[in-house]
Amino acid sequence: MDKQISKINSLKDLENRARLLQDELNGKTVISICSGTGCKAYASEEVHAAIEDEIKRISKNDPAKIKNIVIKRTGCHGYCERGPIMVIHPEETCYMGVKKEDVPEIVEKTIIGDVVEKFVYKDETGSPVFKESDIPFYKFQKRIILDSNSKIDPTSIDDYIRIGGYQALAKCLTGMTPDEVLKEVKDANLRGRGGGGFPAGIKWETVKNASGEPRYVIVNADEGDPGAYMDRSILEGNPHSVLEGLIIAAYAIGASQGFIYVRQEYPQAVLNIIAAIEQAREIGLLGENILNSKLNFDVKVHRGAGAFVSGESSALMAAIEGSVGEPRLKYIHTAVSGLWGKPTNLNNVETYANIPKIIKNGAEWFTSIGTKGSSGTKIFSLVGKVNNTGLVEVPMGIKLRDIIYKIGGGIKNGKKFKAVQTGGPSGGVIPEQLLDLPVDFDELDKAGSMMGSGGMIVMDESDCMVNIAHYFLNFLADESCGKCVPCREGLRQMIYIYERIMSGNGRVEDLKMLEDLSVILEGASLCALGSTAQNIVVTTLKYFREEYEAHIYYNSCPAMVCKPLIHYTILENKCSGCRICVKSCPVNAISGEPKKPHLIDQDLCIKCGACMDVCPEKFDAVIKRTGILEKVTLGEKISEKVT
Amino acid sequence: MIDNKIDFDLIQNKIKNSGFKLTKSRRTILNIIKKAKKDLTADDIFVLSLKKDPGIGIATVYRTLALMEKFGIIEKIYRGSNKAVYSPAENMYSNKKPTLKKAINTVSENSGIKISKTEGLSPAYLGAEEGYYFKGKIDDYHNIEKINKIQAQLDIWTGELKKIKREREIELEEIINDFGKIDKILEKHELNKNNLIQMLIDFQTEYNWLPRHVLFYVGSKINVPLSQIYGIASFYKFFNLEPRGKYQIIVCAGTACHVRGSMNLLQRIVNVLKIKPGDTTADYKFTLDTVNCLGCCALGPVMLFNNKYYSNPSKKELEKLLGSVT
Repeated sequence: MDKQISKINSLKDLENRARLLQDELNGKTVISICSGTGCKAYASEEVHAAIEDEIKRISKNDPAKIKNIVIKRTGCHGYCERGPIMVIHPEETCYMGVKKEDVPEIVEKTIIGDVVEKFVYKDETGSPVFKESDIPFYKFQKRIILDSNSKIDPTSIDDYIRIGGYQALAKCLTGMTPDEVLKEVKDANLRGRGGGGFPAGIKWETVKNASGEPRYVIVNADEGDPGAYMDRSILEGNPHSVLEGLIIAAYAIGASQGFIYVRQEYPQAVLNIIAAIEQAREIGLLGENILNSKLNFDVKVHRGAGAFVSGESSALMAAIEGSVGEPRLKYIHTAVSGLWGKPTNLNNVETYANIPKIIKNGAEWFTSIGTKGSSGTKIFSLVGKVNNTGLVEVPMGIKLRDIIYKIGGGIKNGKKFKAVQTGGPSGGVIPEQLLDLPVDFDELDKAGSMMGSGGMIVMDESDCMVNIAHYFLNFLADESCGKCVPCREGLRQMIYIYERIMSGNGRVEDLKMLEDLSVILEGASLCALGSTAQNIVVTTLKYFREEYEAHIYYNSCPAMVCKPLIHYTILENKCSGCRICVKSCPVNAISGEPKKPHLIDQDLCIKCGACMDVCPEKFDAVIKRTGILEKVTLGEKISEKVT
Repeated sequence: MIDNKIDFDLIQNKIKNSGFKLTKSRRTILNIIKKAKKDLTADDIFVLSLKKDPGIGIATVYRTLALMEKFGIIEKIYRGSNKAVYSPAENMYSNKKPTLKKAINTVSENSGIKISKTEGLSPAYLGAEEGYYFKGKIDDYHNIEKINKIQAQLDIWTGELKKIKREREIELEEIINDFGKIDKILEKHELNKNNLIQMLIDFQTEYNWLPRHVLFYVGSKINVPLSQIYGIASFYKFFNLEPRGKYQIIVCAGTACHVRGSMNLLQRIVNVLKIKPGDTTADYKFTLDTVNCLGCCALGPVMLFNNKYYSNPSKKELEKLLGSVT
């Protein structure tokens, strides 16, 4: 099947090759299994091995049977909740949660063109949905970038060429001048997908017009936001699309050297992108005189060693230069004076992945998707207390409610929605009353949050907003490089105040103090890590002030999260004295004789909740309470305790 | 003979009541005095205690002796030259308590030396009073004893030195072998200062931590001061300046896992392993770490162990899992 590697010299070469490759798969059935990190966690590799074994076993007996079967390992499909995901092409039959024991049955049915209904997605009414794109999770999305993830093997450049890959690059290099490419990107109004939302076209122009040689282009794949993994999915699942975007950018700007800064914590992504670069070099899409256009360009991969702040542009460049990744003051933009003092263009993975699509389909097509100010689509990682966890790609301007309820399938365990946190640690929370907000750069900013890299963490009624804000501040304080005082000291002081509030020692003036500190952090920090850190404080204070007040005035945590403010008690009238909780208590805080109601010693209790977990459902005698001990009586609702 | 069964409880109580502890070195010294067939000078005690515990210094010996004397556990006796000898005090023994006079007589009988006057005087004053010196050639005796002891000690030390030398040689050989490996990695990165972080990443993957000699070597090879290398190695989370356990347990502390209860999972692991996050168990088997996101949020709260993901394991599952590896 492997044919000789021939260099590609023109657009025609590419098209011919794509056609050849397409013919190769004509009439064949492709079994593709997701090997993204999410599915790997569900042992998709074992499933893949089982399929290969099964095919081998069948081919021994009857080789003719499987001559039309091709197995393929693809990138992330996005629907991580139901992994491992298996899709049979061309019918697009989608199987979910496949285990290795199920493989023989599926392979057998697939060979005769049948489907196994039991692994297929079932909708609310229980009727099966066979086609991947008909599943509600996918139906409401608009996947222009993630779409190819599920169709190609990320380690094979042929797969990418088959679906028309690198044709946009060839179009640029053979038929467009750099200025025309730049104009196209500017017209498309592609805004930086890394969080800032700065128009990519304008940035490219600045770099192009800045004096200094050589110029550099960098892919920022230092995706440090907890709960966001779209960049990793693209790099793992479709590295060539990023590479193609990068080469186009280099052509438009006139750069000769590119870097891809990717986290060491993403081993698969590092491997795939390195393999992709080598393959591209082999067929002449990287190196000297690419496609006979006199463009000389090569790419290096730089692995980041795990520092959140190194995702900031000037810090990232310092890291590539080989020093400590700390940000610097940017009175001169990195676009003018970046890597080694030379003009440098830095964009996010997703931004680069959009470029080939824009070139191929035109700026007009791109602006037709999304809203006026923010065109195109955005990938979000929808995680937290939502039924369908995974990566979703939606057009800009979609309502939050649609993402969470239509695509995400609502809140887990039928609980009540409380807030959604967007934009990673730099973003804020959005409460229920703003759920109809159209999601784009400007609207999210207005609500006090931000687009960020696209993390979307859904929280339900059992999440304490004070605790969440404390969590993010802790994260940021940990990741702060310590160079500027407002960020280093301001965050620390905020954490002290939060710890005070969470332990029931909050003071009346604390809320005012938090607001004051937020203003200072926003105005005086050196980089975005500090200046956006207050978003979470300000938004939680704005939308969930009563929760803070409950902590301070009533020593009560309405969501029952802050341990010092909750306590467990055994209801005398329900406890049957089975001694199960006595045995499970790690600190021996529960005393009691058989057949008599037990008692928890509040002084010894560490509030681990083990007793509540083990108490048999039929008794349900252990309850969790919050608030001042004396005020709480049986059956009282939390809201009554607070007011 | 003295029934030399020392009442350690008694001594311990005594020391404790005075606000001190019966530490390991104090116990060693007491044992030496207890087992001694004859009276010992501070030097003798030091030499003997070195065999038991190489960490004891002469100052420790003197301090301990002074302390014991203060508590009346041992007695300091001056004989002959200006060297004091130490012997157990009467109340160090649980049952029969010999009188001071008897004790000294016994001791002197054993060593074959006659003491002229002992009656009626407390031992501390023995040396100070004129005329209470040993008869006979006490200096000669001490010299011979000393020479023998030093000879014996020298033999032991020479043996130990040889052993240490061999160990160091092996270590050096390993390090020299290492340098070959390091050179390979350095060459891969073209000995370029700008690639320092990339080199360190490769060393970290190779050794699982960054040994000091490696950093030294790298610094001298690519001409970067050690301080700068340490600056980078301590800035980035991926690098470790201390050896790591054989197995790493990585708990995701990302937001998605946090809201699904990763703190409780972490607490469970802490309870099982009895180490704090970031620490390594004493046998270098497990290292417990947290990361900001493992990127499999659907499984949350999730932990990574032995290249496998586990979703919210219970305490029992954890114990089984950690017990399953050797």
